[in-house]
Amino acid sequence: MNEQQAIQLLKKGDIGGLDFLVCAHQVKAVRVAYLITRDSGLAEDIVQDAFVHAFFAIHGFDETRSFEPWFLRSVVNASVKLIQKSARQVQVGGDADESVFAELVAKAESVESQVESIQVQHQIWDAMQMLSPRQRAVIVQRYFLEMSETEMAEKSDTAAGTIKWLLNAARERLRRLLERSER
Amino acid sequence: MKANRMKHALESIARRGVPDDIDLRAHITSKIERKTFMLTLRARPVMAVLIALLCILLLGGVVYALGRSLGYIPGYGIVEQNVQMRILSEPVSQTRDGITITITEALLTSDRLFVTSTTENIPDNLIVPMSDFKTVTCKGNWIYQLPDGSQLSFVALGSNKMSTPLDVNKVTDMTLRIPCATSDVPVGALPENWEFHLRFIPAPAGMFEKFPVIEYTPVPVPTIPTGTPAAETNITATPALNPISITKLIDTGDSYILIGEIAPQGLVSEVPLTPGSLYSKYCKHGPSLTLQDANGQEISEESTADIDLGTPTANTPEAFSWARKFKKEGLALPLTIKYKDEHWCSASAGPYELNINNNPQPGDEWQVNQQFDVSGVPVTLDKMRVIGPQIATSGGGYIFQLTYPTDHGDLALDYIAVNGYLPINSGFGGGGSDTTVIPPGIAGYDLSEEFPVPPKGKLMIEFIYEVLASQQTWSLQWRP
Repeated sequence: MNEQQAIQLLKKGDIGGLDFLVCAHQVKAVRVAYLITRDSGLAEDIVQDAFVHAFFAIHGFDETRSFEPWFLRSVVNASVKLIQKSARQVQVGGDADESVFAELVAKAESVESQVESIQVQHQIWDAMQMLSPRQRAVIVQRYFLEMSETEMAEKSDTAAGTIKWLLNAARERLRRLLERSER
Repeated sequence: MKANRMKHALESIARRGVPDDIDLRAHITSKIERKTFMLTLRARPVMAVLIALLCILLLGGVVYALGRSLGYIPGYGIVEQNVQMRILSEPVSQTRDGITITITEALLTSDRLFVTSTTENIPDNLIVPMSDFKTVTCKGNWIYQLPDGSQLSFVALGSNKMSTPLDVNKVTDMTLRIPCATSDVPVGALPENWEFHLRFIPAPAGMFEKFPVIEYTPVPVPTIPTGTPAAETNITATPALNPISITKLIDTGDSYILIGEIAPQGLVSEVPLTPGSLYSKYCKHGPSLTLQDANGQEISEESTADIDLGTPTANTPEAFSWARKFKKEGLALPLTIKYKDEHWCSASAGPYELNINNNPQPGDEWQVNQQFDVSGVPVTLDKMRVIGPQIATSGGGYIFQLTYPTDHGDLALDYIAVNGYLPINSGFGGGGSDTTVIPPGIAGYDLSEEFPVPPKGKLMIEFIYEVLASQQTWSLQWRP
């Protein structure tokens, strides 16, 4: 069975098609949700619900397109929405300073030592906690899913300028938080 | 490339938090079945209330230790105290085309199989980027086959618990088939279909230290929660039963592990706005659990990834199990387990009139600058843009660019319902526009909605948002 066949089965109401889609996409989807929510249990719940939603909404899906971007978009949205309910955070703005941010990011895969790399990962993880859910989502989309700003804008039906602004605000805040954690 | 390094950092973090072998299929199927059941219940709300009350009543009871005798093996989880165990006689390893897979350890009990392995030398350049949606990567489950040809089955793929118990004393050999060295590379890129012969021997006495597990029935205690139900609510009154319960306690010498359940109260509902609607009005729980010491300090926790929480015994829709492990040293007792339950429900503002050009074309954009009162927050529809179809059945739709001041609190805006039109696709983003940056004190929200036939002309719209219907904090004190 391939993805198109699985979707065709689902459209006929045959739940057998879901098995293939879940196996193919669950790990990546849960990781996306986990990076945004920081809670693996919650992330699994979100992805379970997203698959349930997909099951009931599959009739509206164009099967000539790839399932994954459509599905991951709903996972990102659901993760942001759910975490917004539990952490009522307000967006923060600011000018982007990509050079400082990039320097810290560069440390993430430093070859100096595995320990340092893990320490930096911890710093990034801790700093991401302080970002607003929406900022966390754009960081995940940009760096984990490697989506371009244009793709992000298209997938979320949002103006490219908005994505750029959100990304810059997230980078700036992450930079400040990482700086603070190093002191 | 710096972005690539950030990707690796995030991937490492994500891999630590979410293993490769999770399997959500059983849960998803069960949720679909439950949703179908709930749809039936919605037609009979009285029945739903009765079922909820019955569930709560059944939970009542006195704390008592159960007769079972369980033990906890660090790194492996909870097993029967007198369990028969077999281990791998020696590590087994294979190298093909430079890739080495080693089965380093295995522990077999009558109902569980734990296997640890390593895979080495996967070339970085073969790993498919997460953004590559087209390449088909190697997928497949590990298969454990006994000499009689039967295969072990597990309650879920990520679980080490077997569906059918084994007579462990009779299992001396097993074949392990691994279809893919990793699921991160394209099909056919690396050697596939690996086969290992695993030989099991009885575990030497005392090889695994087992800590006793004290088991309890769930303990709902009549308690008055703190917090106030919000004014705007349509949920049922919360019964004075504490939803926190402790089901197991493990003392590992230097740490305690508490295992329990939370049974959120208040009916969860989800009702389509209109029949067949993509949108619904709902009430949902937003739970959080923390442990505080006697000084009110939050306790730092250690990983409990080796504990299989299983299915909660409380038969309420959003019940969940929890486990917390924490050091004994310096612990100020008693502990307080705090469970904050936020109950969020949909509410609507409007209807308001909105006029749209009678001949909107994709790409058209215009200033609206119309203000609406949404739960006391002045929400401005700054601009609208016409979008073409994003999915097969769509005839296109609109992006609504909204802003609102944040000094009124954070508005949890969900969507805009257009009277008489059913959206078939929607999305949201961060707000703002190509040319302007949202100033401090203002929040932006871009909402896209697509319809089979986009609405136009004079429309009536409603803003659907979420309100905190109730926020209650329950607590339970514990000391060993």
